[in-house]
Amino acid sequence: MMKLMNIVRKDVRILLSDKKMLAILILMPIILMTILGSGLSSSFQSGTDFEQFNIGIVREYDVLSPQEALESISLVEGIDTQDIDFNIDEVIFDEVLKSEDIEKLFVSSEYLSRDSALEALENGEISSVVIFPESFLKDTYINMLTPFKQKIKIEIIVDPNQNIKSQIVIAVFSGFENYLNHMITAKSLFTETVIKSGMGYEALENLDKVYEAFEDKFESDINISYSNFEAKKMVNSMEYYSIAMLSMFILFTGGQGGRMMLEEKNQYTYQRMSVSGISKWQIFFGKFITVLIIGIVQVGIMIAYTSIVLKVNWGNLINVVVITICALLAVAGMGGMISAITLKTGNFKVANLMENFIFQIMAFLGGSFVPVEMLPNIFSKISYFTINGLALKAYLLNMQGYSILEYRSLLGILLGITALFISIGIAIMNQEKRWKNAEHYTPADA
Amino acid sequence: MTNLLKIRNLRKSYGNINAVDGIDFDVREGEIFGLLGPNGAGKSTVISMISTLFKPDSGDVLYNDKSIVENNRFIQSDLGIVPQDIALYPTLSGLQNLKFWGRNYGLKGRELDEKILGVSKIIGIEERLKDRVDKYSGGMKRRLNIGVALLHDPKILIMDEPTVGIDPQSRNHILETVKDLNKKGMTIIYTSHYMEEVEFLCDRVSIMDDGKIIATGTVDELIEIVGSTFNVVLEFNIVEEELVQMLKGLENVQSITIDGDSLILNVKENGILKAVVDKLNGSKYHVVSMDVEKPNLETVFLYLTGKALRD
Repeated sequence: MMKLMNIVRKDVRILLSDKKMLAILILMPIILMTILGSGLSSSFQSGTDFEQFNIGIVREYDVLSPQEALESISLVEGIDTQDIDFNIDEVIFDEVLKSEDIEKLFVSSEYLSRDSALEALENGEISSVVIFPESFLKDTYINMLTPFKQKIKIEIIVDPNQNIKSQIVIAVFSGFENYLNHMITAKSLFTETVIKSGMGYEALENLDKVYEAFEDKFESDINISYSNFEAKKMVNSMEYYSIAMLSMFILFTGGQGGRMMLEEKNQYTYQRMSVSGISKWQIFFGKFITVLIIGIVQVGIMIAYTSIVLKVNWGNLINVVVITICALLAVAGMGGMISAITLKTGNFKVANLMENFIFQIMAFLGGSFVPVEMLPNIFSKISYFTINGLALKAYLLNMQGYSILEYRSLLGILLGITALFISIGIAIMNQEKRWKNAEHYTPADA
Repeated sequence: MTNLLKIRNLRKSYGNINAVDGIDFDVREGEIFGLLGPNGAGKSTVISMISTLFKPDSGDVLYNDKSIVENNRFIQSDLGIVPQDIALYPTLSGLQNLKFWGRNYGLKGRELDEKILGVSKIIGIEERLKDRVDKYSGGMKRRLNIGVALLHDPKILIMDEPTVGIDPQSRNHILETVKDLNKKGMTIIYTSHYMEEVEFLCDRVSIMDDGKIIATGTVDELIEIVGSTFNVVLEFNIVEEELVQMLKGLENVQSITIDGDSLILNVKENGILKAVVDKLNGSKYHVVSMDVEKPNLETVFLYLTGKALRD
């Protein structure tokens, strides 16, 4: 154990003495977090270039005509409901949701009950649920066609993991809310004027013309409340890219670890250690632990910077530690596997391939460049096969206030990846006899 | 003196190349044993097998009559190895390197500090201990490379070409260090292709060529092999095959080696110059300069292999 710790201490010192490498592993992600977090904040609020997504609509009210809806209300004396051809239900479903512009963004499906819609939301079939209350239709007609006002609450429940899609749904229905509120305000003013001037109920027949002419904004009587299911916090761009860059740059720490065994061999210290009685396993696990330690330093600095300077709230810190350890174990396992392959092949091609190509692909697929929800749905599934994608999801969920039990499967996959990579590394190292690792024959050496 | 190491019929090949081809020799306790041979002779492969880094294809290496091929632990703690290449961490300081390697041999605390102090005095780098190794000169790196091997007071020290590519001052320092260590009782195996170093240092020498030991003995015993022969180095205005053929026929000429514009004639007796002049009289070849070398290990190698040691 002492020899192992001696190797780790030496390896950590070597890595920390490499200023160029430190700049790549620590300084670069900090700069990128800051630039991307502030530069892309607008795209987190508006959201464009999306693949069409699904939302659920729940009509808790009975579909009635204005006449049927107002029939039961005794206070509508004097209004000739037979002439009213304004159907709010048709406006919502035929004009708003079926409009060309809206259908470019999302497709709405109707659910029979709130529970079935929420189940679909939890299963990821839809990204939001819009619930119109039981009294919606009747109250809307009262608001629009009578002198009276009723408070209406439309509920929107969103998936916090689909931040940007949720923002779109909220924006669309807020627009609809404004539209209705304008109508109600227009009605109120017009009714008041008619009553004050003694024009009689006949004047109310011109109400539809008033609606068309009215555009100013007034106090709202229709309220759309939105929340994500389980009322979780939604992340902003600074928070997202703090996580995204951290998740991506820990991969490069693993890559750096992957070079260390062959570097030892190339500078003949591997051979010297072998002769001095250090086993290949002590060297192998020394690199593994070194990557883990460097990763902890790297992540610690990034979290401290983003918390203090960028004011990012990472959520439950104990969970952050657990996620970090799971992610870094996977990264160290990957480093160990690359190390073994690199040692076996005797060149840095695999390490270079990982750093210059595979990590970039993993960064993209895992959502470190752009959120995977902005990409076709298949990318969201692929992101589960990347270390950074899994870490990113876990950090995000923790940041949003989820309990660790709710994303334990992500941590389980990370630990599974660790076991897989270490097993591959051990299998490769096992094929190599001690002297095989050390031998480096050229005729000039003989 | 007892035989500390016994090398028996050791073989190692790489594909079709027989790097080491069935060699036998013994290393006695307390001696400096030299392995002399040109680059590619197989010295480093032998060293790697003795230091348990390479596994031989066949044969055995016995340390205190125990096979270290079967179990390398028999020799590990008694062995210090100075590899031909600088096996140090360039971005760490000399002190950090010494501490790391010392700890690998189980040294710690005050004992480690004292060993480091002692070794750094021996190798003469006390004042630069805290500097990074990549800031050291080639000679200082070589000396630190040796220092690392001395930390745990090994009984047997293997030095593989420890003076390659360094300045004369560092070279002399290293040679003196080797002598001093041996005086204190350390057994040393020293490989080199510099015959002067081997002549200066070694009690006994094995000469290697093409993976084989071609002679073993003290320096005097080896020189006796060539008897009264010596080398005459003749520089010509032009060297051609025709010239070599003309001189080969001269009496007492054992062998001829081409060395640039010179021919090295290994001859039995004096008087060769007159014979050469007579032979070349009237030809297009003229002697530009001449040198006579006394027999040494170079002569021995030339005599035994027909090749110059530094070919």
